[in-house]
Amino acid sequence: MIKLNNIYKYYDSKFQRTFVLKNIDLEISEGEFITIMGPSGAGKSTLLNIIGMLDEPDEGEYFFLDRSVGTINEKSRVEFHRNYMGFIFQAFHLIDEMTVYENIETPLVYKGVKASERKAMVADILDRFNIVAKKDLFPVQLSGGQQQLVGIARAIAGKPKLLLADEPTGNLHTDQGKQIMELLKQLNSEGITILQVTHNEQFAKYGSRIIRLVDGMISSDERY
Amino acid sequence: MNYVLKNTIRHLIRNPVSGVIIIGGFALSLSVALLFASYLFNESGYDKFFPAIDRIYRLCAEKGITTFRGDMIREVKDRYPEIERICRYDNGTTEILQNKSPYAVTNLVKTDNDFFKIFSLNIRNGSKEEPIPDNNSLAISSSLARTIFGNSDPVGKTLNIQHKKDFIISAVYDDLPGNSSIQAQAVISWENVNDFGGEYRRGFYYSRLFLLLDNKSDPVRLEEKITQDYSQDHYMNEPFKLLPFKKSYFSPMTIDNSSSTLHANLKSILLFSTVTILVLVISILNFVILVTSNHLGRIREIGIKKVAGAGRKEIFKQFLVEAIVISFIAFALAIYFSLVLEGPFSALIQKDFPVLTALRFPNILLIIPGVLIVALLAGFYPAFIISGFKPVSLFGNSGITGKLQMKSGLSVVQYLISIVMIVSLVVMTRQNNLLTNKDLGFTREQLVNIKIPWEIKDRLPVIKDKLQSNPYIIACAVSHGIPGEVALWNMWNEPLEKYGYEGNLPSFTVDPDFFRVYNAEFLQGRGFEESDWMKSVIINESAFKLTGWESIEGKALKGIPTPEQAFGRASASEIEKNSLNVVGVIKDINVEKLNQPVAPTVFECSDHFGLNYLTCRIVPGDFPGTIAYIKKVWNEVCPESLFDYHFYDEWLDALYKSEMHSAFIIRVFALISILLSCLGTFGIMHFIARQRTKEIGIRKVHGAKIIDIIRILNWSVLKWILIAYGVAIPLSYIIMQMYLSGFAYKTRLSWWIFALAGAIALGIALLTVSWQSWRTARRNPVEALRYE
Repeated sequence: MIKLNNIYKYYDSKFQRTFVLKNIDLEISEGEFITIMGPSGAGKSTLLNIIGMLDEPDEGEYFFLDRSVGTINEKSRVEFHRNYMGFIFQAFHLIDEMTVYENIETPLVYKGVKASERKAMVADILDRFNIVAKKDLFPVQLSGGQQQLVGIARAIAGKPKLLLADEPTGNLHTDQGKQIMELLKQLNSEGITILQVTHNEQFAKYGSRIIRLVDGMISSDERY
Repeated sequence: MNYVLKNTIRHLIRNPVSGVIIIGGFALSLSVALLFASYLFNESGYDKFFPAIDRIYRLCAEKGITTFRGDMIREVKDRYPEIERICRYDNGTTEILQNKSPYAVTNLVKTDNDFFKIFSLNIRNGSKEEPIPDNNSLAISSSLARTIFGNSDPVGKTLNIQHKKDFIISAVYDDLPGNSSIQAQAVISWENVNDFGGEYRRGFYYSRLFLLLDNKSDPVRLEEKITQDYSQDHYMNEPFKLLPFKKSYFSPMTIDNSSSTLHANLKSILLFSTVTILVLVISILNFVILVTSNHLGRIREIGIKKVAGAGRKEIFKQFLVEAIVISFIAFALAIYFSLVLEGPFSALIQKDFPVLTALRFPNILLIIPGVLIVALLAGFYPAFIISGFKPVSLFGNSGITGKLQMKSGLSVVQYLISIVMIVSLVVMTRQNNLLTNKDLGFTREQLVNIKIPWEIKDRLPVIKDKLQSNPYIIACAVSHGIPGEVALWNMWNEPLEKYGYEGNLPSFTVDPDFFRVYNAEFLQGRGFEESDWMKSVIINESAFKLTGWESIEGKALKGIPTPEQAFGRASASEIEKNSLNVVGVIKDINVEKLNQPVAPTVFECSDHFGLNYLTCRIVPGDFPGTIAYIKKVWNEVCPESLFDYHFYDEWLDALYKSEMHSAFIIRVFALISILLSCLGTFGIMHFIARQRTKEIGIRKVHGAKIIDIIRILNWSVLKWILIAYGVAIPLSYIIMQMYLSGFAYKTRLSWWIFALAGAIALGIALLTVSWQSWRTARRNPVEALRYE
């Protein structure tokens, strides 16, 4: 599904080049649940940005579903976002001006789903996540765990193939965190490929594969 | 749509500061625009309702010539078959009496029967073919009929005009609407011009002429023919023009000093449209500045939407729609504002018009796209910038900085406009004061001017004697015009060496007492005496310089033609026999308008140009008593004429009212633009403070005092105002030079005006900004840093 060949990301300053990612080779197949770990500044988020097509590598090739991402235009990038990818963030990143319902609906709106269909789809998700009662509340009225639940609901509303999660449990209590990880695991078992970044060894173990980054390079790649 | 609408409103509620500034500013400037639009709509509606409007023309010529020999019309009509109908048209105030009870009538029209046909007046009662069959007939409007006769039928009844002549009412017609540039309360035959006065020149009465052409004829062709056939007739040698009547209201050609036809105030329209556009520009910039400055607050939202599958197009659309929604909310408010402002505004423009004309059916079709255009202008740039943000920053902590420089740059434009407006305001006010307080060369106070009709000419000595017997009246004089409004007649276009001087000398006719009444200062010689009548002249200082004489001792102006002679009724040798002694030189006095330099002028002791005003110099103390006395004398000697008087200084002030109005309009708009700019600055400061919260926290933790922080924050805005100031000085200097070039007497563009404008702008900006800076600076640094 994803193939990275010799990916480099660096910043040039006057006299030296600072590497964020160095020579990353990585292959991810459909259905995997991958955890990326590593100390601060190891390049985890940058790698996630590149895979999520929010950032571009300076060198190397990136294939998504056998299409070279380096050559695609803005329009197809938007198409990839609409149809194949969902994002979950550490800081939840819900839109404050929108209700729970509207937040979940957002990707469907951009996907061009008809209003009636949208209603049914959002209702399904609300039901499944057990947040029907909260659908008219605004994000500020929810607890952190509930907000992240909405965040995940929104991420999967568009039925993505790949879910990118940047420390999804970073701002949560351990109990809430566990709940979220259970949910991710369940989604994975339903066929969604998941790529998460975390500092938490315990939560890392929910995945099927752990990739450790040190100073922009892959130091280990273990499968369970 | 509904989705975006809801979101926009929620955004506004969550960001009340920018919401209020954007919408309030927009609403204010849109209401200005709305008022202006309704003013324009109202103006453009003039005359449009006449059914034959496309075929009506008015005869004109360049240089403001709007009147022609009245007896020309029959000949013209016979000569050119294209002319279907033609009428003369004069209009003036008068007094109509019914059984000795007087009614003031503002528009007594002297015209021909064709008038009713050309302007399609609806005759209610009376002959449709010949509403005024003879010189003793009078047609009146239905409103006047109602005022005088109530509901009874007035046709056949008798009315007297100005105690002079009885008329029999022959017809009643429907009133002309208020937005007609020709107005008629009562209509009599033009032939009555002998009895009721008119523009008399060169032995003829002159009049405005309206023509109705038939369908097929080409006005340009006819224009050429008339020019060819009448080139001799026309005293100024300007080609004739057939001005379409539908353009006449706005045309600069039809501006004359008389109020016979109403005319649009072009100067007001120009000034008004300029300031409206400037105010709109300021509020559009406010919008751009505030929305783009606010991007920090919304970058996350854009990022989220982008990863959720929104393309640049969707985001762009969202922001445009937001701009449109905001504009229309502001527009709704603007309608309310302008309804509130309608009253004071009408008073300002001195014209009654309903704001709602702009909102009526066909007009609203122009207004709505107008608002839309404003919305798109305001929304395009922010939408473009914001939709281009990359959502990268959603992961990790990479902050967004910079970019704000550009936006503050836009506030340079705002302050530029404001400073230019302040400079204009000061200069125009000073120019007005200069005009109204200028030394005219004579004493302007305690003068009373009374308008006199030509017919009472022979009774003037009696009136003067009676008046001068009153101890409160020092002296009385009769003159062709009153200083400050006279357009001088340039009588001598001949080679002038033979007359003893070079150059053209326009002249002004006065009676022997004129200089005594006006207290003119003599540089040489003496004033007129009774024996000087038709024999002597007095020249002004400029004319004296022009002659190159050393003294006026024994000098005479030779060969000055009388008006009758000047227009080809006397042979050159006959004219050359004329010789007028120069008896005195006066210090220059302003006879013509104050915006013109004093021309070299000859004051003739005669009545060649007509005697239009009687001026009395009175003693202060009992003005009402003195006026009452003058009125009594007037009614005794000429009971048939209305006593029409004014105090000279008040009249002079009124003459420059339009200048005052311009200054007042500028004052109001300068205020509005400064207010709007302040709103913008306030908004920028709000976001700068928010954006730099962390920096301020760090500085404070490291020992910065509140005053240091305020200085840093203020500087980030004030530097732009200084730049604006640098550009505004030369710009406003140029603009004011252009404005002043229209005046002969200019106020000086002193350096302090520019300094003052800068100080005002800077001071106001400083006040606006400092409050915000102070609040931000005082915040607990821990609070600022906690969020990181």
